Amino acid sequence: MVYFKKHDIIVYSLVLAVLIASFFIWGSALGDTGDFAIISINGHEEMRLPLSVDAEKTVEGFAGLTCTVSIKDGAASVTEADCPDKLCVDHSPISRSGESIVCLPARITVTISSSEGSTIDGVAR
Amino acid sequence: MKLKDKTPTLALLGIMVAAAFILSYLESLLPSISGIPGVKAGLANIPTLLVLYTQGPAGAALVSIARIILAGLTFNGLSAMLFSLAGAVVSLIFMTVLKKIGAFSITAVSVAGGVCHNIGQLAASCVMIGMPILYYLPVLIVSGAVAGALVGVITTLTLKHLRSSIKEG
Repeated sequence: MVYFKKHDIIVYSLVLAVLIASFFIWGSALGDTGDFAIISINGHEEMRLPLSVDAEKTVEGFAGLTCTVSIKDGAASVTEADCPDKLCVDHSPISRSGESIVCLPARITVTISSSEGSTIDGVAR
Repeated sequence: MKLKDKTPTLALLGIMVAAAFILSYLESLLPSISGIPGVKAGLANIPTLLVLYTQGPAGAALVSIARIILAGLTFNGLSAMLFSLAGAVVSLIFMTVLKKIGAFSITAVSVAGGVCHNIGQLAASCVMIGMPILYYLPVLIVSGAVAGALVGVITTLTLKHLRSSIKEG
C-alpha cells in the first residue's frame, strides 16, 4: 500500500491544468454589464438595486452583522461591514452580470444580474 | 460466478451502502466550513472507493448511487440528490478508467474522483440554475482535490486493514 506512485504526477498535473482552465471559464461565464445588484441574506433575496442609480443601503445579515452596499458609477461594492474578516469590503466593485461579493460571516451576497429574471435565487432547497 | 459465491459480495455491498449512508448523514450534521454548497469532505465516498478496489466498478456504482438516493430522499433533499448523482456518474467513470490504467495510487484516483464529482455536480447545477454558478468552479476544484486526497488516504489505510477480511471479486 502506497499513498503516492510516480505516475500520480500526471493526475495532479491534469487537476492543476483543469484548475487553471477553470479561471478562464470563470472569466468568460461572467456576462456583460448588468442592470441590478441583488442583495441576498441567507440565500433569500432581500432587495435589488438598479446599477444606474447611485445608492447606499445597509443590510443586517446573520448574527446581527451588517454590510453597507453602495452603488456608484454603475458598480456595486461593499463599503462598510462589521464582519471580522472584511473580505467583502476588500473586494473590488462589481458591475458585470454574474459577478458577486460574498460576506460569509453575515451570509450576505451581492450579485449582479442583467435582467429582471432570477438567477441563483430561483432554486429552493 | 456461482450463486453460492454471491452471498459474501451481497453482504459486503449491503454493509458498504449502510456505512456510506451513515457517513453521509454525519457529514450533513457538520457545519459548512465555507458556506459554499458542495464543499465538503466527501467521507461517504470512502465505502465507494473501497468497493471499487475490492469488487470492481459495478459494485462501486451501486454503493454510490444507492447511498445518494437514500440520503437524498431522507435528509439531503431532492435537488442536492440530482446534483450528487450527476457528480457521482462523472466521478465513477473517471475513477474506473484511472484504476484500469493501473499506474496510479488510490490517493490520485480519489483526487481525480473528487474533482470530477464537483465538476459534474456544478455542470448539473449550471443546467438547472444558470451560468452564474460557475463562479464557484475554481473553489470547487480545489476543495474536490483536497477532499479526494483525504478520502484516498483513509481508503488506503482502511484497505490495508480490511484486505484479509474482504473477499476480492
